[in-house]
Amino acid sequence: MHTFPVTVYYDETDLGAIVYHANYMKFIDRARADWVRSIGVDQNALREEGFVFVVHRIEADFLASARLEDRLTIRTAVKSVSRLRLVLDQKVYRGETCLFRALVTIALVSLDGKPRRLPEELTGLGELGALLTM
Amino acid sequence: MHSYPVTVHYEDTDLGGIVYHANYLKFIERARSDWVRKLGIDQVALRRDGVVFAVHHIEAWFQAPATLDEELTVETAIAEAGSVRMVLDQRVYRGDTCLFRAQVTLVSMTTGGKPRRLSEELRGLSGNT
Repeated sequence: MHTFPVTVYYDETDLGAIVYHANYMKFIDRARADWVRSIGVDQNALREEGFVFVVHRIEADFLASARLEDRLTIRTAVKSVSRLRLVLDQKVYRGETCLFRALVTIALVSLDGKPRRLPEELTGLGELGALLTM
Repeated sequence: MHSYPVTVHYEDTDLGGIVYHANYLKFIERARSDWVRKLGIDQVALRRDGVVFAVHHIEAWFQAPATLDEELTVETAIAEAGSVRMVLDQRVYRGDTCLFRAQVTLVSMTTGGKPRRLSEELRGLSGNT
C-alpha cells in the first residue's frame, strides 16, 4: 500500500465550498506519479523514449466532501496487472473516513498512440510482488 | 440532446501532447452548467439558498486522445432521472469520432450535505433532453 498526503488549498475548492470533483482525479494522479517514481519508473525518461502513460478508464465514487485545509491521505494499491494494463484501487481518506474511491486503468502508449508493454517495475508486481512492494 | 463546443487550449494539454485526462471532466462539467443554465436553473441563486449539485459517481472511458487547437463537441443526454439524482450520458466528439464517454450521476444536496429534491426543471425531463 502506497500512501501520499494532500492538503486542500483554496484553488481546489468550488462554489459548494468543497473540493471540486475533478480535482480528486488530480490528487490521485499525483499519488500515482509518486508511487511509480518510488519503484524506479522515470516518466521523463520514458517520454524521451517516446512513451507516456495514459488513463484508459476510471470508475469513481464520491462518498463525502473534503473542505479547505483538510489533510487527506491517498492510498494506492494494485488491483490487477497484465503486460499492457494496470488497474489501481485508489482511495482518498480524511482520518479513517473514505471520501473518494476510484478504480483506474492505466496503459503505456507510444506518442502515436500504440500500446506498449508496461515497464518491468510494474509488470513484476504480481499478486505477491504487489504485496511486497507496496 | 445538448451540444456544447470546446476548443483545446495549451493549458489543457500534458507531457504526452494530448488533453490531460482530468480535463475531460472539466469539459463535461462546463457542458452541464451550460445545459442547466439554458433550462433556467441559476446555480448561483441555488447556492444562496443553500443547495448545490454534487457528482456522486462517474464511470468514464478514454477512447482516443484530443490535441491542441482541436474543436470538440460535448453531447449531453439524460440516461435516468429520479427525484434526487440523475444520470447523464456525456460524450466528447471530434467530428464523428467519440474520444471520451462518461456516465455521470448527479445529486442535489444542501451545503450541509443532505440530499435535496432536484429542481423542477430537471425532474420533468426524464428521457428527453
